[in-house]
Amino acid sequence: MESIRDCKKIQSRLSEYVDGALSGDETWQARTHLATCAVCARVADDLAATARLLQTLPAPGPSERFEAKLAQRLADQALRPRPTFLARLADGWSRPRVRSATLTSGLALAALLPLTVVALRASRPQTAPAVLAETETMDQLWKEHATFASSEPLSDPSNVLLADLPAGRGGAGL
Amino acid sequence: MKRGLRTLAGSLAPLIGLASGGWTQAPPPEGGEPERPFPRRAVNRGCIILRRMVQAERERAFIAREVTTLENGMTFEQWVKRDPRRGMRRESIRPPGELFVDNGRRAFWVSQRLKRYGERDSAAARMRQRATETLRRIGPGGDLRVEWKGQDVVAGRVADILSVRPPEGVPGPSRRFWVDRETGLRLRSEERAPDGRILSLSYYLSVDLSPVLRDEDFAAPEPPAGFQPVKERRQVFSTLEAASKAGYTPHQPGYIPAGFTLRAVEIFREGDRITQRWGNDITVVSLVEMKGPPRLPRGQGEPPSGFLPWPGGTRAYAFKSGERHFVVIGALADDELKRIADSVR
Repeated sequence: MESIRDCKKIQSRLSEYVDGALSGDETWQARTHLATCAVCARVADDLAATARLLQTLPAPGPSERFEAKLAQRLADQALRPRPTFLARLADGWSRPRVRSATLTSGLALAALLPLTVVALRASRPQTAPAVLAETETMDQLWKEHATFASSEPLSDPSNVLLADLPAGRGGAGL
Repeated sequence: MKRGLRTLAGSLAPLIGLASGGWTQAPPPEGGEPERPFPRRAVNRGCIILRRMVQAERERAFIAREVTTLENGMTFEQWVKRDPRRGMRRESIRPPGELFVDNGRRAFWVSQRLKRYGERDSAAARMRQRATETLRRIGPGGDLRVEWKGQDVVAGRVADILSVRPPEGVPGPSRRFWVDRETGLRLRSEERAPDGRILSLSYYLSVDLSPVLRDEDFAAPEPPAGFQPVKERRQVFSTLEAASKAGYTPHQPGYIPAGFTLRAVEIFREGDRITQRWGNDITVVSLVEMKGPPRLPRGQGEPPSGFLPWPGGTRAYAFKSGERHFVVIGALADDELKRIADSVR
C-alpha cells in the first residue's frame, strides 16, 4: 500500500526521473513506485508529455541589435570607476522603488523558478529520444534468454514474442 | 504337430507385433507415460521426417495463425509470415501490440505494451548456422533420440508425430513435433519436462502455403513516436573475445549438462553484465554474471535469490559468489540448475 509520504517523495523527484537524471537506485525506486501507484504514474506521464511538448517549441534568439547594445554597455562600464560591493548595496537599498522592486521580483522569482527549471531543461538541444538503458531486472534477463532460446533449431520460435512476458508470472517449475 | 505350430506362432507373434507396431501405434496418452525404446525402423523414419522438417523451416514460405499455450494456462495468438528469401515476421493478435521482424541480417521488435522498440542480431541467421550442425545430430550416428509416434491432423492437414529427446542420461526437456506429411512444415510442437508434463504448446490454427507476401512485411518497422529505444547487448562467440572486450574473464561453470555446447557470449554495457549461453538444439541454459544484483520489478522488495519460476517451465536460480551476482536460467530441473550454480562458486 503506497503512503502519502512515499508519493510526495517520489513526486518531488519525478522531474529528474523523466529526464533520466536519477541514480540507478533512485530510478529503480521510482519505477517500482510508479508501477503500483496510478496517481504518481499519471503525474510522470504528464511531466514527460510537457517536456516533449516544450522540446517542439523554437528556442528564442537574441534581437538584431543585441550585440551592438552589449558592446556599448561594456564600453560605458569600462569608463566608470567601480564602486565597492557594500557601497552598491547600500545605494540600491536606500531607494524605495528599488526596495519595493527587489521584494516584488524576489517573490515572483520564487514562484517562477520551478517553471523556469523545466523550461531550461526542455530547451536543451535533443537530437534523439533518450536511450533506455535496461537495468538488470529479471524481466530483462528472461527476455534475453527467451529470445535466444527461440533461435535453437528445434525450439519453439513463437517464444520470441513471449519474451516480453513479465518474469515471475509462470506456473510451477519442473 | 499342432503344439509345434502353436509354439512357433507364439514365438513369431512378438516379432510380428514389434515390426508392425512402430508404423501404426497411436500417440501415448498425455502426461507422463514413460518413454520406451522403439524399433529401429521407426527410429529411422523419425529421423528422416525430422531432417525434412529442419529443411522445410529454411525453404518453405507460408502464412499461419498460431496459438501458444503455456503450462500456467496463459495463451497467446500471433500471425506468422515467413519467406525463405526475405525473412520472418511475427505479429501478435492476442494480446495485441507486439511485433517482431527478422530479415536475416538484423531483427527488430516493437512493444506497444512497454512503449519500446529495439534492434538486435538476426535469430534467423543464427538458426541457419545451427541447422547444419542439427542435421548432423539427427541420424543414425547422431546423439539426439528421434522416434516416430504416429499420425494426427493439424489445421486440416495430415501430420506425423515425432518425439525428440536429448541423449540417454542427459537431463533436460524434450520436444514433440507434428510435421506436415506433404511439405515437412512444423504444424504443432510441444515442450515436455522429463516427467512428461507439457511446458508449452504451439500449433497452427490455419496455414496458407501459397501466401502473398510483400517486401514491406519484412522491412524494418518505423520506430513509433514517443517509444524509447532499447540498447541491446553485443554478442561475441568466445569467452576469450568477451574477456578481451570486457576487461575480465567471466566465471566458467565446472558443470554443464552433456550435449550442451557454448552458443554465444553476450556483453552488456562494457562488461557490467556478461551472459554465456549453451544449447543442445532443443533448449538453452544461460549463465548471467553481473557486477550488481538483479532486480525484481513491481516493488517486490529485495533483489532475488534462490529459485524463481518463469513462464513455460523455465526456471532461474539467483546467487552471489564473491563480489559478483549470478543467475542460471533454463528449462532444467532444480537440482541441475543448482549443480551448475554450485560449480561456479
